[in-house]
Amino acid sequence: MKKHLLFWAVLAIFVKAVLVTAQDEDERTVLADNKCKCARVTSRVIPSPDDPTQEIVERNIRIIVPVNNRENISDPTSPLRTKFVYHLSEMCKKCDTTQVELENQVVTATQSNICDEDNETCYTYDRNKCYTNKVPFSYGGKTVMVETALTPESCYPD
Amino acid sequence: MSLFFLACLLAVLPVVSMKSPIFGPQEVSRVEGSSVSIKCFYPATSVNRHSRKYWCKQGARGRCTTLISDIYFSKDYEGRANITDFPEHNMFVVDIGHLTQNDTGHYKCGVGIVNQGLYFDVNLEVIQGPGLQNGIRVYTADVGKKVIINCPFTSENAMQRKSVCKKTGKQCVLVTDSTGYVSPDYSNRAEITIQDTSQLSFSFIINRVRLSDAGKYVCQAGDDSRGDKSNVDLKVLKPEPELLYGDLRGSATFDCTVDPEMARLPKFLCRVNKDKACEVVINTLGTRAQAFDGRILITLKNQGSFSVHITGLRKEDAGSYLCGAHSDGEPQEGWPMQAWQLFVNEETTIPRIVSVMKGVVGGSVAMPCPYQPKDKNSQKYWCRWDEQNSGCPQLVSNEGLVKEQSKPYEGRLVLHEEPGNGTYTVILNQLTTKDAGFYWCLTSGDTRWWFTVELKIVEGREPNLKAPEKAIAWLGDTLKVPCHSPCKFFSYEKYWCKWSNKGCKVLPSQNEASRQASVNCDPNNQLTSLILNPVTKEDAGWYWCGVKDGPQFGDTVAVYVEVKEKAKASHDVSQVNAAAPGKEVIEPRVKVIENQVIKDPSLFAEDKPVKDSGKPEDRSKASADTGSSAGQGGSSTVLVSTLVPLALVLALGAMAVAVVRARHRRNVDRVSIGSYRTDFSMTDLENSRDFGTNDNMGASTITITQETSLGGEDELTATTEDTVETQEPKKAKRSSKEEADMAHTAFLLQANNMATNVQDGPSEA
Repeated sequence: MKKHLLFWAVLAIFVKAVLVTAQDEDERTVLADNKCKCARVTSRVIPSPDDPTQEIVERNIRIIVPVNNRENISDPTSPLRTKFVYHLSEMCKKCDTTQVELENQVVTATQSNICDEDNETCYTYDRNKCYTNKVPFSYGGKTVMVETALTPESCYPD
Repeated sequence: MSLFFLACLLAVLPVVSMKSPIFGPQEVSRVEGSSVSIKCFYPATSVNRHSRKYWCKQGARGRCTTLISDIYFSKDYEGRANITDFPEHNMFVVDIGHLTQNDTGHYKCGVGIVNQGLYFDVNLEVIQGPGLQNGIRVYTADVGKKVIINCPFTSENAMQRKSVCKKTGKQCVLVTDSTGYVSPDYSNRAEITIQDTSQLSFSFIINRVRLSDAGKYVCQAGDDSRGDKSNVDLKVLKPEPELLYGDLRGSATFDCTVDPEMARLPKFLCRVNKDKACEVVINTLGTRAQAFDGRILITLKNQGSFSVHITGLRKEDAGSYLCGAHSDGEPQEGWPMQAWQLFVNEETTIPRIVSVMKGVVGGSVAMPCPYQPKDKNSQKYWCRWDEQNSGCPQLVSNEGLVKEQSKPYEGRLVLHEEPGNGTYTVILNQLTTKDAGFYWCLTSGDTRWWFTVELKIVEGREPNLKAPEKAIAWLGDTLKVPCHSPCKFFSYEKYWCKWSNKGCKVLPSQNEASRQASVNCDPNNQLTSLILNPVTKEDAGWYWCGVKDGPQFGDTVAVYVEVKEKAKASHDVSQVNAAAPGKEVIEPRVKVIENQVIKDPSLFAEDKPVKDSGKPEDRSKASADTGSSAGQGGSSTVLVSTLVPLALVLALGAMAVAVVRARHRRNVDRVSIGSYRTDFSMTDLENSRDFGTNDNMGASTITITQETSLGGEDELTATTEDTVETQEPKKAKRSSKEEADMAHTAFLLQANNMATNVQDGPSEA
């Protein structure tokens, strides 16, 4: 129970942080938007509270915790996830490509070298991915395992 | 308690949600009783096409009550609303009829299983319709249009002055009257007309209605207390912008319609900035905003309408735009204009392209142009953005060079269309500084997949590939054109192709990069040659030497081959001298390369010396080439006098090469014997099992096979130069020595085998 309380307290802090910063959405720079972990890091330049003539950078981290999701999102029978880990360094890695000039030739390059790993544990579904699971299906006394779509909208072969 | 927190969180969620990729009209105002049609755009992904589409009304505490969705109708909307999805246009339309003032409110249109996350906020305002309300006549008008207000009076005041004033606070400011006065705000657009004296009403007309014209007016006939007064309420409906949904990096098209009356006036598109002023983005008078350089195009269409294409959309391009026609090519307040709202979706599937390419003078560029994967069968074009004429004349399409523009691009432009991978490549070589500029990749299909690439030309650098600019071939002879590539292209595929209007047809070429160079790349060694044997008249034309990295095209270099007929003896001399070494070496070597495939890999090591022998000659041949080209410029005597010593030098060089190679051969041979042995012993083991008792037979069969293949080799080498031929007897001797050696080894192995006498099941003959 204590753990739960702590969790909600943390959540409340996040919510508060979000409420405070939600006003001027447009002036903020999105540093990272990790949809897999429902986390977003933004920053903005504000006058320093100590010295209003100076400007400081404020960083905001917003995390939406999907409390009802399973440990393995592809397996609805797995237990509910109770542990949510967020590594800032991992969230802030930039995996989109950028154009750089090399020896008078413009080439596209990735901005990080840890982007190839695709084994990130996601806490929520990616809308553009199809998630399936095998379920027992009984018909006429026979039980067969049938592959079912957990996210039917995302599973259409276009 | 946790539920409470969850409720809190949910209440906050809509506030914090990221800028949604859904786009629709921000504000919609309609007159009571009319109908409304609301367009909502969504990103063109499969999941969005198949997701639920909804329209909900925002209530208190952030809840959004679904009024209509794909599968649901609320009671209120029964019989008067409809939701239609257009997945091919990635949008859906909500139609609502019989609007009442109760329909005014905040709505959301969105995509997804819950009314959260992916939506757009829409404000719907239903205003009172025209008619009499509490003694006030209500009129509605659209911005830029004309409104006629009817002002009745009694017959007593028929001869009195008629006037209209506008209520501002408690005052009523005169707008216009029947004496001809018009207030400055309404100059040239307000008037009072009286159709005929028998009618007991006059018309107050406002042309080109502005938003500021909205308000209460008082019509008067007669100024004193006996005069007639009537109150009018004018409501001006905000212009609803046309919605344009663009993808980041993609392109968008503004299709602007202009009144036929103004068809001849200059057209413009302007962008509304923060101060509500509209800055011209492009017009037909030649103005163009800096930010859109190279990526905007205005095209006139029939009946005065026009379209403006913007490619390479950026985040900051999103916003309000106005388009229309005016003699100044600039927007004018109150002038009829079409409003646009451009949205730039950042969650896009549009691929990233290299937006700036650099080429060196004399070099080449290969521009990859992506296209919408569905447009496999549509036409692909490449055009050059023209700053002066505000056009983009096509240069090349997938059907070949465009005729009108072909002259300056003869032999140096090709559009390659590789089936399947969603890109076509345009290659332009022999670059000059004039080629710098913007180029557009277009298809006849989806215009959202148009791209602009800027080409920059760098001076003072050498092109990567080196080949002679021009080569002269003699009819019936052999022509060899070398193409040097630097080490960075070592792993690339090299090719030669023959250029034509329709493309560049790849020719079989010969790659002379020695296989041993894989560790240390010798810059002089990366040579790919074009061989024409024999030269025919049809062979004249442009040839390209190029490199390719998998499916990606790389640099190219063009060579013009001119075919001449042999005429004079002097020419013959130069020809023989220049082409002879090349020719003699080539013929057998082509065969060697072909044979390699068929031959046993064990013989491969044996081939190498032969191949290596050709290499130095190539260099000497290259020097001979330069000599001959110089000789052709002068007289034939000069030619002979220069070529004779050259030939002597050549011969000396060849001898030196022969000596070097003879030494080299010893080392190589050791390797080759080793390889023979290993190979041999393996086959031998099999054979020994077959013909267990007959030892010699097994050995002799091997010898025969080897002799035949070596014989083949002898034939080839016999056609080569003398230096090679002199090697042959030695080689043959060594070969017979080898055979003896091998036979001995075979015998030993077999003896061993027989002793153990292992029978491993049936083996092949």
